[in-house]
Amino acid sequence: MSMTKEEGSSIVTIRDASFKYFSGKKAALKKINLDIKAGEFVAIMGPTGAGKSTLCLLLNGSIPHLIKGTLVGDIQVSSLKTREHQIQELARKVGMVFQNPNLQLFCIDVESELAFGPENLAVDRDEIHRRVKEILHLLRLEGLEKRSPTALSGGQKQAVAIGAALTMNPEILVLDEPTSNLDPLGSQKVFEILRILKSQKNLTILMVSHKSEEIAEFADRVVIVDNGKIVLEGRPSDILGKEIIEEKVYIRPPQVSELIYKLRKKGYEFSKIPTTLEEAYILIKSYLEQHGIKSKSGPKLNLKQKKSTTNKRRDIEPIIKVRDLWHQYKGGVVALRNINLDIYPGEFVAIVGQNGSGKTTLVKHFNGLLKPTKGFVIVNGLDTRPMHVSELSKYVGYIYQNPDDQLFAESVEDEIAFGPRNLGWDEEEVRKSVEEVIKRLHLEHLRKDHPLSLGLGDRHRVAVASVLAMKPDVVILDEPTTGQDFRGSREIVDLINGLQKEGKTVIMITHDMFLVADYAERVIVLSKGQILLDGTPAEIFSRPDILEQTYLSPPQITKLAQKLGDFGFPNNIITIDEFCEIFEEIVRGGN
Amino acid sequence: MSSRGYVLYFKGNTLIHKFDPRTKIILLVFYVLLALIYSDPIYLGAVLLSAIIIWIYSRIPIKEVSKIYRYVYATLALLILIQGLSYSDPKATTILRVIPENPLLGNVGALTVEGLIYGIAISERILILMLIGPLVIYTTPLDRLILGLIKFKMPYTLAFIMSTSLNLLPSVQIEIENIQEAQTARAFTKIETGSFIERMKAYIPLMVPLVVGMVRNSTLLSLAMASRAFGVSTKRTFYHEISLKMRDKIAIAIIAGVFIILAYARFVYGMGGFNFTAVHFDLSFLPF
Repeated sequence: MSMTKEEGSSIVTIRDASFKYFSGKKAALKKINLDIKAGEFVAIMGPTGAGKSTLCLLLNGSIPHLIKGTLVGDIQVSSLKTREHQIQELARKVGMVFQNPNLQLFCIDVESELAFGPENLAVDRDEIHRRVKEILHLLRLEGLEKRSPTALSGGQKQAVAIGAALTMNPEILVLDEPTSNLDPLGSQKVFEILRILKSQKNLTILMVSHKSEEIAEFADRVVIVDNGKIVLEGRPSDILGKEIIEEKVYIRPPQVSELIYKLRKKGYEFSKIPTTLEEAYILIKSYLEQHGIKSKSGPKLNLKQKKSTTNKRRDIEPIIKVRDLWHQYKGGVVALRNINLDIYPGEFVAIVGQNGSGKTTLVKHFNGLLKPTKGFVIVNGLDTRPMHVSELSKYVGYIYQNPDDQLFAESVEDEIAFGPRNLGWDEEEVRKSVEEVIKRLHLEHLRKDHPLSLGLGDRHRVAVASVLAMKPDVVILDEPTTGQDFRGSREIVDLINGLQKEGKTVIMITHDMFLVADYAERVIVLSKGQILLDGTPAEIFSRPDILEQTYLSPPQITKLAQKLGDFGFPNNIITIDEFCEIFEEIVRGGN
Repeated sequence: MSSRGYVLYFKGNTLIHKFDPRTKIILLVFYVLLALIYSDPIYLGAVLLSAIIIWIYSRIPIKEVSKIYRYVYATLALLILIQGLSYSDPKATTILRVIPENPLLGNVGALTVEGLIYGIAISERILILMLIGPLVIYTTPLDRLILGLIKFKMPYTLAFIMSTSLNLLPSVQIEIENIQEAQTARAFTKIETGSFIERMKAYIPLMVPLVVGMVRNSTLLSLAMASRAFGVSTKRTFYHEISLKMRDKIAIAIIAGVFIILAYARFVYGMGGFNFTAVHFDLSFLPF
């Protein structure tokens, strides 16, 4: 598409900008050209390592003033050339919000956090008080003034970070994946704030995000970055609805877009590809009505029974037995209340719920990191209470969210061999196991590399490999997709899926409902330390009323089916293919 | 989360809490000076007692802080013993000879009364400092304390670095816990035996991720701080205001007055000094 380029109306102008990090092997950005108009909401999308964060750092002058490297080209922000002005000066114009809420809050309480920017700019004290009050009100943070940022929830922390940028009265707000580290409730809080800002403040917003559904709602323009270049640019409806599906850029399109795209391929005629739930609902409704299918409150169609091996497995002895489990932390917080649970060999179980619902506390009982304060846990026939974690790690592998909490060795090989060696295997056995996982995770070409020098995706694979090399029967994954792009998270889960096929038991903690819908056989919903629901994904997602209590929301495709229930769509559709199947059945029935 | 991290401020409504941070810093300096000018264990004991009284008055939850002092008592006991055994003046009153007299060590190795008294005095000094320093920190929100220091002409950047590193302690603690858990899940167990080098080597799986993580985090933190205009100019406004109230002025006047009197008594009349060589101890009542 052609953009009208009027220099005067642009608040951000990037001309032929290229940047190579001092330590980087190749350029992080290559000849970027971008104009952003005042008041525009621009979304930046793209795979991990594409250069999205680098682009953000260009805008407030962190590059070139704070980060070493080679910068070519011109960047102008609100008529200031970033090269000629210090970050602190540019801070008056550009507010920054980063991904990790913990690393951008450093003051003693919320109030001081909000005041910090204007204090540095020597704004008059009364004016700072006025701004702090205004922002507390605008972002609905009243009552938290005296709280320490460390005592806030993830969503609140990120809200404070946004507020701290806003008190400096910037013209442009740059948000680098503000919701990637948050649970669904936290993301909701941030998106609610963005909604407020879009409607009330005359702000220019630039946001990096992976969440296409939300971007479709907010953004005026989508810019897709891959490999340091802008590869696509345009209105969300054009980009998300069509181009990214066809261009095979590794970004997950909104489910409704993919659905209509697939239906079109099957020969059904739709006038356009929608990007939001509402659009898709109207589109399908009118399609069905045009084809003589009336909305009726009659019986719903049934999905063909999904192949599930769960029932069969239940005849055998569970690999994990949890009985009357309570856990109370030393500080007095009761994290688990009377949990009873059986997990059978070979199951793929997803554990979902808000932060603080007890998910991590529960799974830490499976490998002995935590011991019951009441009740007991049996793993592989062994009571965990007298056992040490290192003994249980033979049976239960725990893959942590952040690979950087465990990588330390000189080479990928040594890193992977660490666990097996700790188990006291002989060197022959260790070598065999290391070879196996290196092959299975495609790490052959990296085996001599330093694990810490690898990119995030590869670091994550090494961390996974280092646990798998210990050949555990049960594999626990804690938020395996945090910080990963679409491709990265699919790779990891595909791999885990493969393990399950070999007979391993997989337990995954996640906030990603798409992953749950596509992979899990069984979902356990935790809320306030108790099991709220336990069933197949289809069963869980067909109960939006109960899910809402814990701020979880079913995948977009399920919501669409539920909205179209009157046409006969069952409310337990969880994948696009299932939707297509029912859609075709309804259309055939109507004709 | 389960862990509260380090708590540095305990809310309260006592006079100590209400004082301006500057008053409390002056109080701190007053105690430090007293601990330095006195050498008589009885005088030091009185100073220590007054510090304990203020501590109790300010109602700091003793339970919360007692864990910090757990190791202090053992250390002080050891200190007294070592001092008692290493008083080198040959005229000192010996209670018990532990190491036989020899030309190399001289009087060292004899447990002496003077040595023990000297050890007690040092311990009292340390305790005074260890009580009064935390008292100020526990009763003052960190940012006000920093503000107080800045009013005493400490450079803002230095004060900020101090407060930020204290603020970030809890997150470092959480980070250490995460690393420990992640490595334990890989069957890692800390080696408690073996040579020093072996034991240090065993810490590599914990130290490397911690150090690498801290370096990475500090880069991100500096980015976040710069983008909020930290270090823009020497001029800066302060959101919080501190002001010396009448009670502060009275307290400062009292502290200054008391100090002048005590210092005068100490240096003119020698009160509170302890002349070891002038005192002779009669130990004939002892059975040995």
